Amino acid sequence: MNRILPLPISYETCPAVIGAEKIAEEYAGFLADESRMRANQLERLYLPQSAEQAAFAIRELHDMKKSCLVSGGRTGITGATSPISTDATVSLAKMNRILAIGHDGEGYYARVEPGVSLQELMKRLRLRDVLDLPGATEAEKESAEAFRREHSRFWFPVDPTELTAHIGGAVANNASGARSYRYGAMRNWVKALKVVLPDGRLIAFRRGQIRADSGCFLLIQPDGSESTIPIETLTLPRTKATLGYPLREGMDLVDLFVGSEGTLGAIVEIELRLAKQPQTIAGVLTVLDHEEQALELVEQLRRRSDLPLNAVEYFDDAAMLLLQNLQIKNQADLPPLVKWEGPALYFELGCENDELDDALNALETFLDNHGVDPAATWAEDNDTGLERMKHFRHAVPEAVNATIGRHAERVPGLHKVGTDMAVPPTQLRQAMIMYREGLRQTGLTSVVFGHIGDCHLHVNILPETLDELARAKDLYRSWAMEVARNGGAVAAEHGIGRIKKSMLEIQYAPESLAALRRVRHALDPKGLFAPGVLV
Amino acid sequence: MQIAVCVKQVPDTADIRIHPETNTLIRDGVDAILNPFDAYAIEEALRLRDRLGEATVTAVTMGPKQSEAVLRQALAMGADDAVLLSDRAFAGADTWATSLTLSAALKKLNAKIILCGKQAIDGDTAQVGPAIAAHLGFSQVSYLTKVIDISGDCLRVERLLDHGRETVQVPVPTVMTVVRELNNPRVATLNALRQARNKPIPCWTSQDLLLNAEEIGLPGSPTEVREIFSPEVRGRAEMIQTQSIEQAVTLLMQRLGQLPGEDRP
Repeated sequence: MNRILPLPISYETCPAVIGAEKIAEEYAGFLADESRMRANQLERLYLPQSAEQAAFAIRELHDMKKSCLVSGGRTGITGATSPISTDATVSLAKMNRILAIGHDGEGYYARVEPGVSLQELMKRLRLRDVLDLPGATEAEKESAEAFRREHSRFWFPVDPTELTAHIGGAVANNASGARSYRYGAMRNWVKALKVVLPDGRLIAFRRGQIRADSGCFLLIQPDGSESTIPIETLTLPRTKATLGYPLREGMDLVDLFVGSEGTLGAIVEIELRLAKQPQTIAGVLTVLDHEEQALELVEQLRRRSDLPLNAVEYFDDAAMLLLQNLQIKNQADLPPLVKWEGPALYFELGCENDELDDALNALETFLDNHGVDPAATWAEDNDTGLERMKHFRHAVPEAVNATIGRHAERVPGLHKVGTDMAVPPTQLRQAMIMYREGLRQTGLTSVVFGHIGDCHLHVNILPETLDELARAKDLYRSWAMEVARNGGAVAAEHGIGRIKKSMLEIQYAPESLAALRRVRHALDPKGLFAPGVLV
Repeated sequence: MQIAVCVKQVPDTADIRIHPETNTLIRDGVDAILNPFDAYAIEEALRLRDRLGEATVTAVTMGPKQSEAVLRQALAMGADDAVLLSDRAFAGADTWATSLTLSAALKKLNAKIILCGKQAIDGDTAQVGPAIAAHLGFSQVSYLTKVIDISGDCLRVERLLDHGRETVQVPVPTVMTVVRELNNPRVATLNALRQARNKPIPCWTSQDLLLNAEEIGLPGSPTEVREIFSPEVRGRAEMIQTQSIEQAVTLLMQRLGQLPGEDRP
């Protein structure tokens, strides 16, 4: 079935702040997002507390022919929620209720409004604080009671670094993070969506219900006619990716909206699949002698099925040096490692209690066989220790941002050039050689870290002059062309937004970009939604 | 020399919620963690062992079987041994009965230097460490920030005061409670963690400690809890956010000017 039938809806007046001056004075935060791209002004700000209010706001804007941007936690780093050249922002931040926890025969799910943060959902699940949820049906109330009595714990396993991100934004961006090694990105976990279309109509659909057929979805119009949303088949990368709409014949309508970066509608309700949480989680950081050793270990790990790995992360020697300097200066709560010199790998294991000893033993033997110094490891199997490890890992991008911030104080206009590209496993070594060669030839300073298990590394170039910045951008483009040519993705988790649009043009041929634009035009013929974002 | 470190498993207070009607802690799903101050005590015990040469570190906790987890953390960090004090008769102990029970175990261990976190984050009394010293008749140093040197049977140490630091010389045997400023706790290697997970931990009961039922647990606890309540919220913090310090100061002065006369600084 490829027909999309909008639902009847009772529109409710939406709280709004009108007037650029008032917004600039009292709601200035809405002019920018984490990307630090800043709009000069914003005329209207809508703050809906329900899907009906959100639909009201979007319909009103549509009728007034005003452009609009949907935002959530505004934690994205590609500028997708910075209302540049946009008349209005519809912030879904106040739609922040967990509506229900239920069980549908396949497993538990959480139904949430888009403004719930990832950390709020994770905490409520952990504390089993799931009774008396405002949207629960009688059956869901019973499921929530059962959820509380469960011997096992259930969690939402996707863990993007920025846990203050709102779930709506994480879905709209198909976010992922370290545990995508085992659990994949947000896309894998979305069971159902409710979306307000750019004209203010509401649609609701479940995975498996509506699929592209004969090259299209069909949207039923108020007069009963059908409008076509053309779905052509693109050549998609064989890696994790956030490259707009992953168009292909037979695609699920859920997948059209996951990762659409707010260009096709406002996601106002999400049903997420939950997973049984491994009884125990252990983290192991190991400091190596050189990068080659890390690549060898990652390649070998792929052949091992006896290690219950949630995540495999990498920090190159420059990243470790940054952290060591922080540790020495006591600027971050970092532990005294025995060895700091050299790159590091972080492994997260998740399994049943009685399996952990075997898993740790197997990992120790594996590392030993590859010449890793046993003293240069750090291992934790309790929550406090794992929190400390998380803090350690997150300190890398923070230290990078602090460094570039200092450079920018000296030379205004400087910023880091951070890549977000994934390559197929067979290309990892080649990609690393390409990065190192490019950095050596240009003499640029960099820090490399990220999700090496998914062959998805963040190369952060830290230019010190505007000339270096220009060279860094050229280098990034040349890498992106190679990555795209070899079946990789030029944007793997951060999205495209405004900042990475040139990357999308490298990923896709002009006819593919046109196919993306046709989808967008079919749902938003007036071009009012998220102008300047994605494509 | 026998060094002992007293540790406690506590609920992660970051997750704590108070039941609105009963005023009791809702512990559902709340993780149990090593009392954060105790990690600094373990680290200092290990450093003292290294400085003294011939010494061993034993971690001690009183609690149910699952509190073994915090002993294993101490072992993973490098403690030589661990002892669990567990007996239904210990249940309901206040700080008096707890410190008495721990003292009996520490005496049995022949511990000469005893380290504790300054307080546990669940009760926040900061009484158990000093009470152990009193029960054992040892010298005591609270809020330890630095061990300066060790000579003969004396330690020269620095402790934190409200308005500064104080250097004191204490005779061994001694009990010291520690603060975060003391050190940066080491982490476990993979091998140490693996071994700690499987090391046998002896469990001592009231019989092992030759303690009578009346002096331990609830019967041995003179503390009486009359009422537990959440304090009334009396004020609200207001964050002043401005572009410059000058603007912030101006705003602050304006705000202070609005206060009733007697509250003005």
